[in-house]
Amino acid sequence: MARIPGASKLTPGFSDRVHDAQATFRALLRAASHPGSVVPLPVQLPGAIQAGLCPALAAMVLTLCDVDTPVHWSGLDPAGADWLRFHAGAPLIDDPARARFVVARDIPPALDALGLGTDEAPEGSATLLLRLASLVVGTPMRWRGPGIEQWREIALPLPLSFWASWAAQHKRFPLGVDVFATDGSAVMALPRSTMVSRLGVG
Amino acid sequence: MRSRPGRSGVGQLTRVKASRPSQEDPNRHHADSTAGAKYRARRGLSPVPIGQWRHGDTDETGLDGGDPELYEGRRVGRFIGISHEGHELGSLGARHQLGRLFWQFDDMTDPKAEGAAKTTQSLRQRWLRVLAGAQDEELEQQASRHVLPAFEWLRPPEVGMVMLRARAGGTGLAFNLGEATVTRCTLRAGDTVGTGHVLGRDPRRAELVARLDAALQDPERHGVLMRTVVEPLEAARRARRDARSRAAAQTKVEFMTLVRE
Repeated sequence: MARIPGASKLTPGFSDRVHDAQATFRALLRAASHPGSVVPLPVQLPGAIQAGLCPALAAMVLTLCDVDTPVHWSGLDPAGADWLRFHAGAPLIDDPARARFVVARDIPPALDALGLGTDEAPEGSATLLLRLASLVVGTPMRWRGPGIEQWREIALPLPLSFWASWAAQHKRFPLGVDVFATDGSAVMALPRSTMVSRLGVG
Repeated sequence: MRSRPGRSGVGQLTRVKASRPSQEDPNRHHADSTAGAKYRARRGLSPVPIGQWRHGDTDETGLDGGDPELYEGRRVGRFIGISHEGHELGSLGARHQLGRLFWQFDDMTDPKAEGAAKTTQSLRQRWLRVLAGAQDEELEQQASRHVLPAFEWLRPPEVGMVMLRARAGGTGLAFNLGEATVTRCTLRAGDTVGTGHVLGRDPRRAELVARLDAALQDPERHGVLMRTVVEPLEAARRARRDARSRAAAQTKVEFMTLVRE
C-alpha cells in the first residue's frame, strides 16, 4: 500500500481545537495589549513535541495561521512541515518577504527583508514569531508606547542591530512588523507601536 | 414544449435552454476574492477557511469533465469552515458530485505519484468513494462484523463546507457549483492514517469510514476486507442507483411529430 510520506509520523494537534485555540489567542491578545508583559501560554501540545517542534511556537502557529497566511519557517524539518501543513493548512514558503508569519529561533531575520504592509493595508505586514532562550535575560532596553504606563525596562537576548532596525522601522509607523517572542512556555509581544530605546536616553 | 418541423421535414423539439451561471462574479464564493469575502460577510459566514486539502503546492485545478480516471490526484475543492452549518445539497446530483470529489480528496496523497503508487492511489480512492456512499446501517453492520484496530484522533470529526467546483457546459469555464456540508476526520491506527469524508453532518459515519480506511490500508487485511466490505457495498450502491434510474425511466415521455407535407 502506498504510504503517504510522513503520514505515519503525524501526531495530534490541539486536543480541544476550539477552546485551545481561543485560549492561546487570548494569551497573545493580552501580551499584545500589554507589551513587555510575560503571559503564560495556557495550552500543552504534546503532539508538537513528538513532531519535533517547540510546543509554544506550534500552538501560536496553529492559532494564528491558516490557508491564507503563508508561513516562512527556515530550518523546519520535513516531519514538522507535514505536521503544520496537516493541522494548520498553512502554505510553507521560502521567501520571507511574501510570508505573513515568519518563525525564527534565537536570531531574528533582518526586518527589512520582511513585508511591512502597505499604506492601504498596514495589517498585511509579516508577524515575527521568535523562539528565544529567555524573556528576561539580555541587554536591558527601555520600552515605551501604547499599553505601557510611562516606560518599562525589558531585557531580551536580541542583538543591538535588531534594535537599530526596530527604531528605523518605527519611523514608518503604521507600517511595520510585530513580534511575539516566546521562551517555550510564555509569550511576550512587541507590537510595532512600541518604541525601544537605550536605558538613560529620554 | 412546442414542436416545429425543421427544414428537413423531420420535426424537432425546441430545446429547453440550460441555465447558465448567473452574471455576477462566478467566483463570488471563492475564499480569496473580495467578492467572496463580501458574499460571506453578507450571509454572516466566517471569513476564515479552516483548512485546505492540498499538499504544499499552490496552483488550483478544477474538473476536466469526462472520464473519472482523468481526475486522479487533482484537487477540487477547498474545505471552508463557516460559523453556521449551511444547506446541504441533498440531491442525487450533489451526491454524485461528491462521489467524484472523493476521487481527489485524499488528504495527503502525492498528486505527482506514478506507476505503482498511482495504482494504489486509485484503489484507495475507489474504496473511499464506496465507503462514503454507503448508508449508515450498512456501515454500522460492516463495522460490527470486523474487528477494527485501536486508534488515536489526529483530527476529530469536524463539520464544514466544501466548495464544489465544476466546469460549465462546453466552454469549460470553471465556476463554483455550490457548497456542500461535509464531515471529515482523520485518525491514526498504528502505522496507517485513515481519513473519512462524508456528505452531511454525521461524525459517526465519518469515524467509521476513517477506521475502515485505516484497516483497508493494512496489507494483511486488505484482501479480506475488500471482498467482504467494499464489494458488497459497491454492489448495493449500484443496485440503488439502478433502481432509481429505472423508476425515473418510467416517467419518460416519447414525443411524435407530424411530417410537414
